[in-house]
Amino acid sequence: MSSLKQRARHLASRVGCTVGLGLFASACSWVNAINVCEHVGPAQSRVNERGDGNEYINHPRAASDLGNGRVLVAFNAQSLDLDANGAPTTSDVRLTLLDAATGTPITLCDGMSLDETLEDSGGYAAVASVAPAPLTIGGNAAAALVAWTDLHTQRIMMRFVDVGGCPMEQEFAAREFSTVAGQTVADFAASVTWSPVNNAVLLTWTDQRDIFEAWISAAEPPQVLTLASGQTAVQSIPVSAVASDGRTLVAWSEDGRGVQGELLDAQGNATGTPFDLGFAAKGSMAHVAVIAGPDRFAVTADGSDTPTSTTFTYVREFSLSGVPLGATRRVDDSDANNEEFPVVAYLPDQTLMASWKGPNSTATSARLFKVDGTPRFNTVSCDEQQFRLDAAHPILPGMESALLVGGSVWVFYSGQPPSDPRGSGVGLWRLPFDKLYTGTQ
Amino acid sequence: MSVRRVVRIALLSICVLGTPSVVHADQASEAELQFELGTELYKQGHYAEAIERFIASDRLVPNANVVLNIAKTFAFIKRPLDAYNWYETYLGFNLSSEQRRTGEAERDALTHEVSVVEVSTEPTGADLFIDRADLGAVCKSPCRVAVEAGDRRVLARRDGYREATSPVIAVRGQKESAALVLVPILGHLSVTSRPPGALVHAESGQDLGVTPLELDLPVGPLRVVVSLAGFGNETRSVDINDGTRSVLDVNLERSRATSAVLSVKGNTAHAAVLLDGQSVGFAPLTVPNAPPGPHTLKIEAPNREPWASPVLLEFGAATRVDYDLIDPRTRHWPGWRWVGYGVGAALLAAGGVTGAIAVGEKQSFDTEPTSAKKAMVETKNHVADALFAAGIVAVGVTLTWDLLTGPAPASSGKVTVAR
Repeated sequence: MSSLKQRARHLASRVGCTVGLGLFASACSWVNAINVCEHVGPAQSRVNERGDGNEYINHPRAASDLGNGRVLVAFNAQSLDLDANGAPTTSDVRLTLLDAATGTPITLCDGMSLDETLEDSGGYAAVASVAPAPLTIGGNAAAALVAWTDLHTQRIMMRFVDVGGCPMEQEFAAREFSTVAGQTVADFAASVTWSPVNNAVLLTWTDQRDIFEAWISAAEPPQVLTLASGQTAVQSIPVSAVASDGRTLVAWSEDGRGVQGELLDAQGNATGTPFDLGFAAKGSMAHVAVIAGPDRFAVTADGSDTPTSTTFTYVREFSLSGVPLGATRRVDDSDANNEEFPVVAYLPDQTLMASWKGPNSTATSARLFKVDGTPRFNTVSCDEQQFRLDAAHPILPGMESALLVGGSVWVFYSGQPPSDPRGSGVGLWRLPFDKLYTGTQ
Repeated sequence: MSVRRVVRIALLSICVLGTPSVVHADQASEAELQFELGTELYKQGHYAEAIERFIASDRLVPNANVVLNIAKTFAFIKRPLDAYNWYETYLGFNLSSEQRRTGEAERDALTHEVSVVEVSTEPTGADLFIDRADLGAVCKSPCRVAVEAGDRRVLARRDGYREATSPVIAVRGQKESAALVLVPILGHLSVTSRPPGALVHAESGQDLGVTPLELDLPVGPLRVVVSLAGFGNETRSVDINDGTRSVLDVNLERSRATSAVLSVKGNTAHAAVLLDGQSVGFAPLTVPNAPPGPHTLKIEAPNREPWASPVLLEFGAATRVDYDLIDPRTRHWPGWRWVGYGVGAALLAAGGVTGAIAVGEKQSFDTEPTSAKKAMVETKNHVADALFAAGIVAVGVTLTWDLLTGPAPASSGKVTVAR
């Protein structure tokens, strides 16, 4: 009996120690796990409703702050039916209004479907640009201004849209208020940007030789100014970004000269002559995008030294005075494949997010950068590398659009859902900031 | 030869026969004096006074020669009955064969002049009286006594016995016999004890029985001893009275032994047994007179692990020790379990330290996350997990082995006390 008791005490002491140690070990393993990357994945949705599988939909551009918690998306829809010249028989600009809280499409104004063709002239519309435009036009409140290229008439066309997504009045052409005669525009010719300082929309465009600007406000007729003239061969839309103090950077690319830029003061006047933004590749730069942060501008572009070489995407930051903040860098220097159509957005904590199509247009990717330009840890790929935004279906060529909506970052891209009878469409990736990255820089 | 001459010769012979034996000096002196006075009176022819002196001398110091003088003097003055009886007294002494033969012849020469009664009693030793007790005892039974012829009555008395009498017809020149049986005088004694079962015996050694006890005993004072194993003896005095019932109720108390018994045996023969470091022998053994009290008992044997234990040897109790000495050479090395537990603990501790470092690095990661920090945290987490797992495995394996093999056997002993 005594032996049994002794053995029982022996057993109890040993089991107690083992259980304690096991609990201790388990607790350590569980407590210290890195779980910031285990959040619910980003919301993925299709933006546009229209489509019969016979259209080619891409180049989504979006604007937020329309009021009533809405986001306006403009995109290009080309028919896959070709005319005798091999051009699409129709090419329209369409609108879709999204709920800022859920990202789901909501009905446009009375009589319009969830996504509606904007222009009503039956023209041949190309890539659009959209910007907030809280102006009173003709006694009615406008919410946004959409600009696009009508390739039939070689005009830059615009139209205001109200908070309900309804196009207001008739479309109007930039040529109507231009004093510069004989303008012709390319496919990607115009860009609009809202300046809260000037309370006007800055329209920039090019005829592939000169760079023009015009401030569209409700107060006075627009005046067209030439920012740069006699350029070699402008390859991209001149895009602009307005800082919080009104200073503006207009950037574009020229064949053989890389990315050029022009600084405007708070009143919209050029502060000097165009200057080289110092991008490494000088050969064939295109698809320039620019964004303004609290104290800086970020410019991105894709390009290559020669038309046949691999295209990479680059980014460079400048102070509001145009002083470079570091060297030009590739957004993903580990990728040896083609990258194109970059866009940038400044997220809270001055984190720079760059998004592009790549590699080889098989995905829409993004990467975060710290204020010092070094890559920042993201919780999607759970490292500092690029992470994928699209829903893993074929990606269509075309620009993306990145913007901040409330506490989230939204990126629109174009893709081809294989099982969707509506054919190609605009996809939306959105994720709250605190789910995209954590900590401080 | 004249009477005077005969008396002189007789007295002379009496003087030659000797003086009284060893007595106290004063008594001896007085007896000598009475004897010399008696002799002088005898010489003067005052025989009765002489007899008186002789008897006084005999009473002081009984002496066969004095008694013989008395007997002869009574015979000389023709009192054969007294002479016969004094001869009987004389023959009761330790005499030589010659003296006895002479004494018997002189006694028997008086037989035809007296009536003789030969008295015996059962039991013997009774005082015998003739006709009346107030005349004094004539002898102690058994004895032969001369009496006046006629109807006589013999009385026998002895302490503790009822008086017995017997009529005797005494005829001159004849010998009669009288046998008397003395009936003892009895009282009743009742003896009980707590606890019962005690042995009762008289202090003289006679066993009386076992309590509870009811018995009849001769009257008189009696001291009885009541005894029971494990208890102290109790002695009581009681008077046994004629026809009454005496009661003794004895409460026995446990005896206080002055020693204890230690009995040692075990699995190893010839193991040395040490009590407080002092050898008391080799097992198996029994120490019947071990000193009571607390002690340290140690059992040791060659090639065996000794065993020691405090023991309390109680008074009057038997302490039995059954030991089991282990041969340490047959035992597994006990350190293996501590090696196992130690390795496990070291691994767990290393895991804990690594985990703590990982926790710190995770805090740094949470503040400013980077891939390098993440990899560092995850690496250290994995290392900590591996160390923990290895530690748990080490502890678990050791524990399993430990449980299967149990604690290392050690020499042991079992102590029981029988009170």
